[in-house]
Amino acid sequence: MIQYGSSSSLCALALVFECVLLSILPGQALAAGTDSSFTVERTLQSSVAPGSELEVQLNISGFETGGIVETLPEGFIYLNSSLPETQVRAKGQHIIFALLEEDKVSYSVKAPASGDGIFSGEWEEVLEQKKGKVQGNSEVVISSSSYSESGDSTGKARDIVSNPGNASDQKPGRLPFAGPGLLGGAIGLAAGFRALEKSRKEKKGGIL
Amino acid sequence: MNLKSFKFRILKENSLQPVRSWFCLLFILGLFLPACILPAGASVIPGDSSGDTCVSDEELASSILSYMEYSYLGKEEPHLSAEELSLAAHNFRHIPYGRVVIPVSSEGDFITPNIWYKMGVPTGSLIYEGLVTRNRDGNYDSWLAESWNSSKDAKVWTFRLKEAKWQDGEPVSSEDVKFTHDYLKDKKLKLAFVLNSVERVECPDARTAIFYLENPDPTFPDRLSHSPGIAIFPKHIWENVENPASYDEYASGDTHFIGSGPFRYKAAERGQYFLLEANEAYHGDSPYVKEVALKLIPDASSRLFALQSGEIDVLPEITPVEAEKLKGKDNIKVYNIPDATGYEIAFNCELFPTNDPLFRQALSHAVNRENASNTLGNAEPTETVFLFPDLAHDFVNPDCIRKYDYDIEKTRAIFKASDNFSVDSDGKVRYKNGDQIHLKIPLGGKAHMNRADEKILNAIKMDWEDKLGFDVEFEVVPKDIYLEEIGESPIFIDGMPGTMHDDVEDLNNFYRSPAGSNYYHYDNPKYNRLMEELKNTTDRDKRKEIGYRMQAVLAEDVPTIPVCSTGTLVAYRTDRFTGWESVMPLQAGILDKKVFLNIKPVSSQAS
Repeated sequence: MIQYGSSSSLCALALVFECVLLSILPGQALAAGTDSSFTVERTLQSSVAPGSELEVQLNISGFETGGIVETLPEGFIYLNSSLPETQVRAKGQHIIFALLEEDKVSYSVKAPASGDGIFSGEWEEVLEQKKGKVQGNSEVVISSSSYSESGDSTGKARDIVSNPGNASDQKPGRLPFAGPGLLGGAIGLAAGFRALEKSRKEKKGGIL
Repeated sequence: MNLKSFKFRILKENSLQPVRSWFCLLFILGLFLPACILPAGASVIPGDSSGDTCVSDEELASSILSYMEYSYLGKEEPHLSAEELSLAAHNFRHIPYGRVVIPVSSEGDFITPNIWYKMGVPTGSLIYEGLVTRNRDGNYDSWLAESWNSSKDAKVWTFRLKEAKWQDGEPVSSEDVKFTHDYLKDKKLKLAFVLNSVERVECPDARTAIFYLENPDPTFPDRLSHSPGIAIFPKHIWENVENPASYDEYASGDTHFIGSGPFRYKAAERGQYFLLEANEAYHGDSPYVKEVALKLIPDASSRLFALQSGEIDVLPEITPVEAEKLKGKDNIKVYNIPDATGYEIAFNCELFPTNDPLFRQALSHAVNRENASNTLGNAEPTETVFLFPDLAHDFVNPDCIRKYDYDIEKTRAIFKASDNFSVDSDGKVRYKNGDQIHLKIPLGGKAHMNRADEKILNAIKMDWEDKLGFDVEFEVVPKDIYLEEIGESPIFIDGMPGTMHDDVEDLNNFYRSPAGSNYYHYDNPKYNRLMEELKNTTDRDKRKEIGYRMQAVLAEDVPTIPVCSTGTLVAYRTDRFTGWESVMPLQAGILDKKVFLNIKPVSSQAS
């Protein structure tokens, strides 16, 4: 039973009053919601060489006008993007993009000398005030023998250094082919990388 | 913790009494904080830092970046709310937003009845469009017609239509133009008189309509344009309507309201409202406003209150007294659409004593136009013989401006020169036989709205009585006998829309045609010949020259004394929409698509 004058009843009244008042106020971000038809998906290469440049692509579908906040892993440095400077703001490890009528944005970061990291991001569509998290690839590993595991990744490491002498032969997402004598070494490196990946995922709780 | 469990804990756990009290306080603060950050008196569009009413790409980008930084990174810097940012983005993308609410005093002001029977376009142009419309610069805006031209003799007018669609997706075609002409005449609808001179309309192809006129008409586009202008109607809808007069627009559903304009019918409720929405397939620039609601509020004081309370966004055609009441009110501004109505002291040139041109000239110097204007509130003295400079532009003969300044001595001098009058030593004017001049003036015509005729007469009566010795009497007569009364009265007060003073063609008012007399019973053969010459002249410069000569004749003969022009006062809320004032409609009303294509929401409260 509600006892008038008690704090409990005050709280209850306040809740009811708030519901009523907020329902008649014009909105102020309360209308923001999620919509499965609105998505932002990130594609990036899952591993990069230390100190190399990594391109991240964000594909926007369902809307064209809004904002994205991307958070870079520690040690990664933002370099540039496909958007004009007036549509980008870098704040430490956070990069904010203003989308005016874009359906994709790409940006480049420089990887640190070692370690790995997770990209994360959030987006908000401003016309209908929908919001959500950036989906798609998020993890990247710094590896001196880096290559892309992801067959659907369109990102590419620009400075793969497993064999600098053959860098001109490299193709995105593939190990550089350096001749039959190197095949065994390449296979060994790949196996080592997979082991590293497995170990890292296990640390996170084994979620695949 | 979710909200449900949070509420539960607040209500059930007595042990957290102090904590609960703090939460209560925070909740109450939470109630009012959003209200505090709502825009209080916005008159600029959120994000539009330059104030040009267009959010640019740089302005929107900056707004989005600041908003995202605040919302996701917790930075404290000025930013727009989500609602304001949405509005800014709508402006940038030119996507319609918000609802503008306009009061109307009767259901007759809802759209369709206007089109066939009353004002035509541009009044009804939110839904329906004509071929062309005249603007205040004296040029024409193309509506459904992208181009037009006439034969040398101005008897054949060809209109090339834009590629446009009716709001149900059917293409607009020249057959619709022909149908509109035929339908107006076949059904003997009121606006058919506008097309009286049209013999037939032919359609050589889907986008070409040719009007064949019985007589030359160099200003035929003007005739189609306004006062009233002709809207084009979809043949495929109206060919099935046998009797438009008995057509129940509420019962007929939305097919009845198919037009080609920037707004389309959305809903209506008898005795309540008429709601339009932006036509996204419009052939021109789309509106910035998503919905237009015409709300029925018959009572004038209720309309005034509705504006102040925010129930409506704009209040057209208010009186100067109402404008004064709104002065200084928060978020409300009043502006004037100039030259909406012209007031004049009109003479019957056949009756004594006004059949004496010297009497008319003398009285022209005895009208203090400044005083008369001041009594009406939002009026400007008219210094020309008939045309308004702001509307007729270079067609106004500069030699006829201020020809009759206010000067009682000049009045007396002219009376002294007349054979019919004398002036005594006190300056009083008498008939030659010594009788006092008695003027009985009937009131109650078009100039009687807001009792303007009475106010004007009161302003000039003192001069006429005290300084000239006249006996001036006036009374309001019933509407049904007004025309009969003024036919027998040497002087009367008339009020005419500004669009009757915007073109030399309007000098036709003083033409005595073979068919009969004019309003002023004025008949000057020289003037009549000039008018006939004007009717057969298409060259602009020649028309202007003829117009000058006609004005010179009028200035000499003075069949009327133009006194002043009043504007239409419009009040609007500055915190809802902007752009009302930057586009002036040609006619007095604001229900013109030109206005509604220009206004833009300035706050999320407009939604």
